[in-house]
Amino acid sequence: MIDVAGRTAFITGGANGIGLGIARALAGAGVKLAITDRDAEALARAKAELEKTAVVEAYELDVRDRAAFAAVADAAEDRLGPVTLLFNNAGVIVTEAPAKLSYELWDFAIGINLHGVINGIQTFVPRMIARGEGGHIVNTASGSGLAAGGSGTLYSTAKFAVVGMSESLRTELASARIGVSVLCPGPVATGIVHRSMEDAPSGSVVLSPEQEQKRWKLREAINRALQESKSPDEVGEMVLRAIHENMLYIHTDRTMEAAIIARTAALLDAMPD
Amino acid sequence: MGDSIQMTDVQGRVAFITGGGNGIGLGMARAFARAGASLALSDIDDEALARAKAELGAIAPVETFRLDVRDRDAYAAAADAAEARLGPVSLLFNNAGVSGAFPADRLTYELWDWSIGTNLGGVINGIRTFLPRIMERGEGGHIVNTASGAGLAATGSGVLYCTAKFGVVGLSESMGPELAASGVGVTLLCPGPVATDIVQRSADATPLAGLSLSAEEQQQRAERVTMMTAALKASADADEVGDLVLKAVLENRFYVHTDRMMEERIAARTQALLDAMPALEPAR
Repeated sequence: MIDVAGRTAFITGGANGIGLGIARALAGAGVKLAITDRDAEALARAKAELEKTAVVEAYELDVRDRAAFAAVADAAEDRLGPVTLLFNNAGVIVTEAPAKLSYELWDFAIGINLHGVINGIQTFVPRMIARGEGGHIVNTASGSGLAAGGSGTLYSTAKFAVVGMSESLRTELASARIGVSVLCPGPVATGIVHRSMEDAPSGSVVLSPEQEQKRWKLREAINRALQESKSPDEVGEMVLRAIHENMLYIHTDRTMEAAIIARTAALLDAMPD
Repeated sequence: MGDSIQMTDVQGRVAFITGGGNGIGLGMARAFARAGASLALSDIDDEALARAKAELGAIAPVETFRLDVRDRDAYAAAADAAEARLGPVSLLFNNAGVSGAFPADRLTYELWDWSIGTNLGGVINGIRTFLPRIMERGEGGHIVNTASGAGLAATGSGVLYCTAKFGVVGLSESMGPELAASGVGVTLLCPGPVATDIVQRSADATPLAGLSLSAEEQQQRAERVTMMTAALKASADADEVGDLVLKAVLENRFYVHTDRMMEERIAARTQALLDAMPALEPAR
């Protein structure tokens, strides 16, 4: 169990949604915050709010940019001290059908959802180990990283990979007293659906007006359902508790229960005699 | 996902197999050649490709392509050449892979890019190259992705390998149901230990720049390679794995394990996942 008070946290995608919920929970627990996001306006809003209760620095960062990631890490540690709490949280959702995926879409989604996490690990883990002060890493995956269904191939690919990385890292980093948790949220009231759509490259996919409208309706329906779901602040509190208790898996609800059980049964049934 | 929707007849179809010159890829090439498929084999190992062609050319049309699956342009060019010579590819084997475990504080971007680029990016490049062609032709087909037992629960295979192989598992599990309606089957191969040279070949290909290992660690690494190579030699035969995959494609089955090695780990992992779930809350 680690005491988070007085430590410095680095949170990607920290200006909106779950990232902001985590930032609020940590601020309430006496943690200094470096929040990064691609959304400059949201960063300014989050900083103005959070600095009433905590020391906060905010940085514009596209987590795919390795050089920028290292530079922001240096700047954050100059201002706030060594980062020992790392939240690889920035993510996007794209639900295009597999045959329609362009390389631009693959690179966009895998770049942010998987390589963004890799870049966070590669930037901070060597520093955390070298300093020997322990710490904790939370990677934001998804319920869709545990069993497929509904969120599209791009999303599942990256989120499964983040789950595998987290499970494997946890074992390897235990001796350095660095805990690893993987957050696998079910539906949470965030703006991820619309923000992802605005940022995604349109690529070579050409849709008819009817298809465009169908897609818009689907996204609106998903977005509405999300707004009635768990609040990001509740998720932030769950994450804080999981860090204190050094838990590997963080679910926000039981949404995936049946799918996980069915998947495991299928996996075991397929084993040779 | 085990439901048989439609059987894919292999006879007369064209198979594109990455990493087809050695190991499991060659095992699958042999099984599908015997079942009447034409073969496009790709590999980064020219000699192995020549050997495979010499062996299999007697029983099936075989074309070989030197291809690093990370290279998207080269991939598209190899696909065009294969289809020009053999006809439309409708059996795709995203099989090329590299292994290697390194201390978590010594990982480099070069190692990440090599492992994720080959093990996951190579699969993505295969899907991106061939799936639109397969869908457009409407003649059905089958995609086999080679993951690993290490893609189902963390093993001692290292962070790089687990990350990439979990990704291949997620990709496959999501894609399978999405493609079912169009008559394109998906099979996910999760091998346990198989008698291949993957460990030694991967060690030879590892980008070591920036990986600072002490003399002692280098010694340990060499010993680990020798030990794992010896252990794999005593494991399942790659030809048997090829036969298992052929059977799974014919029966349109999703998961292929080569042994029960992962059984306890999978069960324990699922238990841990379920135990971590929050208690049911009253309706909101």
